[in-house]
Amino acid sequence: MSAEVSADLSLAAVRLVPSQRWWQRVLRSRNLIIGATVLGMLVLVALLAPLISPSDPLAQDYSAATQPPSLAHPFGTDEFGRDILSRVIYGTRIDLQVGIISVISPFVVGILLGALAAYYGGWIDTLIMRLVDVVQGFPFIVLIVAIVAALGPGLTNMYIAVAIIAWVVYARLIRSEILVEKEKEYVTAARAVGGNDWRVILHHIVPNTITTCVVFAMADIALYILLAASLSFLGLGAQPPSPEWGAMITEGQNFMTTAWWMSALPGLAIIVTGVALSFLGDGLADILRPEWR
Amino acid sequence: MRETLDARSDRYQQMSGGRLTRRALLRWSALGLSTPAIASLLAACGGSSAPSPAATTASQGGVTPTSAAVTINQNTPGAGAAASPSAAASPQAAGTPGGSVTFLRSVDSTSADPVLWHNPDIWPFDSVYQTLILVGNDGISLVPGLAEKWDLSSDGLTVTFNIRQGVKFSDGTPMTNDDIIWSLQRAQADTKGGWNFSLKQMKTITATDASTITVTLTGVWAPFLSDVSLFNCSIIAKAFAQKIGEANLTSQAMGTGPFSLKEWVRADHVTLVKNPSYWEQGLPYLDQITLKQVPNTNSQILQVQGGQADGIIGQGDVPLNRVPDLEKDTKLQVLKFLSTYNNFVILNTKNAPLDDVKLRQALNYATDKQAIITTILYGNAEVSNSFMPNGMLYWNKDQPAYPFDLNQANQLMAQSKSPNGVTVTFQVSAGNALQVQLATALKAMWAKIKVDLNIQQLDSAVVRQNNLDEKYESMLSGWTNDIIDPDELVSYAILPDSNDDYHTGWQDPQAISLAHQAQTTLDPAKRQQLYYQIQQIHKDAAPFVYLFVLPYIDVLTAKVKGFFHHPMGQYVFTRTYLQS
Amino acid sequence: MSRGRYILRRLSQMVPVLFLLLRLIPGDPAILLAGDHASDAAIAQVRHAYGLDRPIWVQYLYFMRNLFELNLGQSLSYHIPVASLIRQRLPVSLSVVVFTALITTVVSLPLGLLAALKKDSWLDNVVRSTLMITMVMPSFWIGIIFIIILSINFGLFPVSGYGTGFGDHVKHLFLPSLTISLSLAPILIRALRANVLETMRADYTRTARAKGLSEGKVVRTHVLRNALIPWVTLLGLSVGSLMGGTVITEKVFGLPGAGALMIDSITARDYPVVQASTLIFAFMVILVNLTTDIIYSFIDPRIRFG
Repeated sequence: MSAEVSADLSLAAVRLVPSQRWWQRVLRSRNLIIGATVLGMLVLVALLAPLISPSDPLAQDYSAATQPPSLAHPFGTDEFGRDILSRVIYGTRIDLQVGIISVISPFVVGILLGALAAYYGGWIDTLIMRLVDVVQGFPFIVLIVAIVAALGPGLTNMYIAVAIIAWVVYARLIRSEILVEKEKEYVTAARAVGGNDWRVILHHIVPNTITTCVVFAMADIALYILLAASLSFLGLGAQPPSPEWGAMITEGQNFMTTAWWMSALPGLAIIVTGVALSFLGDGLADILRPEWR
Repeated sequence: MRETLDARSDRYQQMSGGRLTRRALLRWSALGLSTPAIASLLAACGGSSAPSPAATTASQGGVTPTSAAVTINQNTPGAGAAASPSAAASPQAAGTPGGSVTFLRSVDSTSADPVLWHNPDIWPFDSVYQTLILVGNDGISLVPGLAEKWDLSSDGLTVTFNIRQGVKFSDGTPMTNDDIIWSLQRAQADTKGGWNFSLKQMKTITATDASTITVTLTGVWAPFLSDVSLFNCSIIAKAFAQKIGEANLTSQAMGTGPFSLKEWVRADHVTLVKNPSYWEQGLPYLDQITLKQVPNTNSQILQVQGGQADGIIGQGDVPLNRVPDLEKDTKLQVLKFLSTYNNFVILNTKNAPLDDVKLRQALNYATDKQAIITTILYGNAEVSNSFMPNGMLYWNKDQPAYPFDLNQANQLMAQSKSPNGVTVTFQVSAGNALQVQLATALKAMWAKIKVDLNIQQLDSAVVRQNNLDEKYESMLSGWTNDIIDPDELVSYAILPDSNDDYHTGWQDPQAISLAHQAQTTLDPAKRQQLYYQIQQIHKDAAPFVYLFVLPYIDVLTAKVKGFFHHPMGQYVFTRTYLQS
Repeated sequence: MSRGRYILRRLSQMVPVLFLLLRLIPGDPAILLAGDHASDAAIAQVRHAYGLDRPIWVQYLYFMRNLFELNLGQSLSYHIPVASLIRQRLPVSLSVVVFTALITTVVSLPLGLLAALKKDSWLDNVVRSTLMITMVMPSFWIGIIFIIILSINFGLFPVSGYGTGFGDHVKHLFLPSLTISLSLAPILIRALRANVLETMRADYTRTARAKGLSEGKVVRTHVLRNALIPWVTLLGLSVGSLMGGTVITEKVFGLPGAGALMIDSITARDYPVVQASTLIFAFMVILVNLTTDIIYSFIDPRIRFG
């Protein structure tokens, strides 16, 4: 939902800008530094999970069920006595994976198809855009739920569902950019020199137009982490006893009034990750699209 | 003279024998009665109501909702005074007439047409429609409903019903034999609901005189009287149905029950109002009952605590982890009612590794049922020892449950075809918190005997499809009785032609033959023996891992009295009243 | 009517896709309809009674015929016409969408404007930081927290449901709409801010200032209108995207809306309801987008609807 909307945001304000030296822009972008740092820490947490996690995220201990946060269990325990801090730490692995893997296929597929449509025009363009129309006509979450229901709940099937549906945003995005771009002189020059179509597309046009897509991919990472959490809320997401953050929030629903930490803390983890990704996205926009500042 | 259903203990007759709940048996054994003595209470009806031996001691005291005990209807004519009716919460206290209540549940009903009902329909609309024979509040007896008396011919092929006279539908029109015959024939012919099995053995149904209906059967069929108490045999007003069109019976109702359906706003609420023409004098007490749909259990509890609703009575709505603190609230009452809700794991015995009986038995020994009950169910359940729910007719209370014994389990594993451990997939319905918790607990328990449980959370429709197609290794399942006769359950679990025994693929020729015998044996004592044998065979073959029996747990505000949640599941609002 | 034909064309493209997609989902509705205690024979019987055992192309023909007669079919689970089911539930979802649009506009217009005008001030930074956080909160998580704090602890709002009567509806809709707005507003605020900033830098704005107009007048006459026009488009698109997207919120707050109906129907494999409600939502999305385009064409004299 917000991905499509964000796509149109980009269409509302696009302008090319003379390039500054990229490293200057990186350092000047506070957003990028903050985002990259926090995200880097999260990635570290994910990688080092077995080392820094106080307990096994799956270990049940009925004698210590639903304990509030304490020294022994800084994030408390759930109804099975599992340490929530450990589960949140291991959940970092899962949710970061979810975000990144979910965004790759739509990104690649969308850009390819959108580039094809824009460059060749004609019936290819019509066909692809018709497809985009059809897919975009359906309410996003309903399609996802239907596909996941068809294939069976679980993160793998969510990746498939997202791949089938979410490429349309990137296709549209890059198509509108390429439509403008391909009229530029350097394109005509490249073709005149004898470059075949694919070379022109991949080596010349796409690198100039891909930046918007990259910025949106950043936003999409956070979106897909939320989507996975929402699917878990509907019971279609990660399978038990996986410590995926959304699944943890859903499990803690019944305990909202008696053991608030079960849902609150994984929720905070999602927020921190999302905010870091936002900063990173903004930072990238600072470098790649300074006119948006 | 007011004759209540429950005070019929001196009047009712039982075709297929006595009705002893597991709980009653437990109580009676505690009182020093042995099983044979109890068994001798089972009276065969050869066409007249045979008096039970007066040696029966009645379990006195009405059903107290918080205790697990239940009273047994006494089949002793004349001993009515000693017999205490198994009644609702305050059996003797007359309720205060008047008042409205709002109860909450998380799902909406789907249809008001009795032939199409599922639980969300049966439970409320059972107060709107009635059948010829009703099930007593103990869950194992048949009591008169719209038929006051019934007789089975000696060859077992004809049933004569004496129809209660003076019964009116809620619009004041009198109920006639025509309505009865029409309703039953309609139920028999229906193919959309899946319940017409209950009238499969009905050959003809005719009115022999103004107050008698005769039914002939296609063959000797012990469960018939129980079958005819199934809700799809509810008596509908034929004229009403024809006036509004049968298709509209799904949204509108005209029955003989204590309440009538006044309004139904889908996904929001169902309103029942008092039936002024109800045949039980002085009942019901309440003027109006509104069943509101509130899908979120947190909201439900808040509304009841805040006084915006009078109770939560939806199936499984009260989260078990909240029971302890709800019980501490003096403004509320947490009621636990006897149910027939048995829960177990079913195992696909057709393929390796679960085709190995030793592995299946090992799983049973490795399951600490009491721990599950204590930690996941917060103590609100009983251990199950059979595929038949605790307390149902012919359930064997003396059959020992599989004890929690890791040594025995490991020994069996060593003798099995997978001595070094095995991986088994376990399918659960996505989003079902209880199933997920059970699966997680079992995974930890069975890991100790090197059985690695691979939990697969699937969409619930897919889980059911996989069950049908037998594309699973293990999954959770359960049972609740629709009729008191074991035949419905036994057909499902023992006779393969129905659904391959819960789709486990398990078959035992001896059990099958015993089950068929029991269908055509009219002697209750003999039937009991047959069913006891079947239960033993099933236990030894272990196509299931028995788990627990969960009661119905309802939360009401303190001023609601007389509410009863029937073992078959329906709400009995007849005697519910508000205490001022 | 070219517009009408356009809508019809879009919808008709979706119908076969929808139909096929649903039938591909494993899980037989007959099993659910027949109940847990039904024998295999009973299930087959039920399947036949509902016509679910007919070949797919036959079912499709029946479906298309019904559609031409504007008959949306009968719900498998509820046994009542799908049209009446949707008629009851759609207004709930639509009122959530409308209320959300209202709250979002009321919140994002001033904040977006202020953030742009006072760029890089503390206000700008506070607004943007808050937005960053609210945008990444899972909506069901926020919803639950709102319920706990505002409804339970402070008793300010009802806990769930839709209520009866207009005033009651508003009370019940506030928290759900606020929850959705929290994810939507950030996008709109940032867009408005970006648009305003861009128009502030535009040549015509500089010209206006050079002409000697006061800053206030510049903002009001030039910047605002030029910034708002594309922004309204975005608002329209966002509202359109809410159609069918209110599912999670409906579930959290127990609203008997069409989104919850759709999800429940998918679970129950109630094909007629899923098909009809999806088509209706798609229709609404197209309608909203078209309306946005029309409004846009009125506001911006340079555009002509083509």
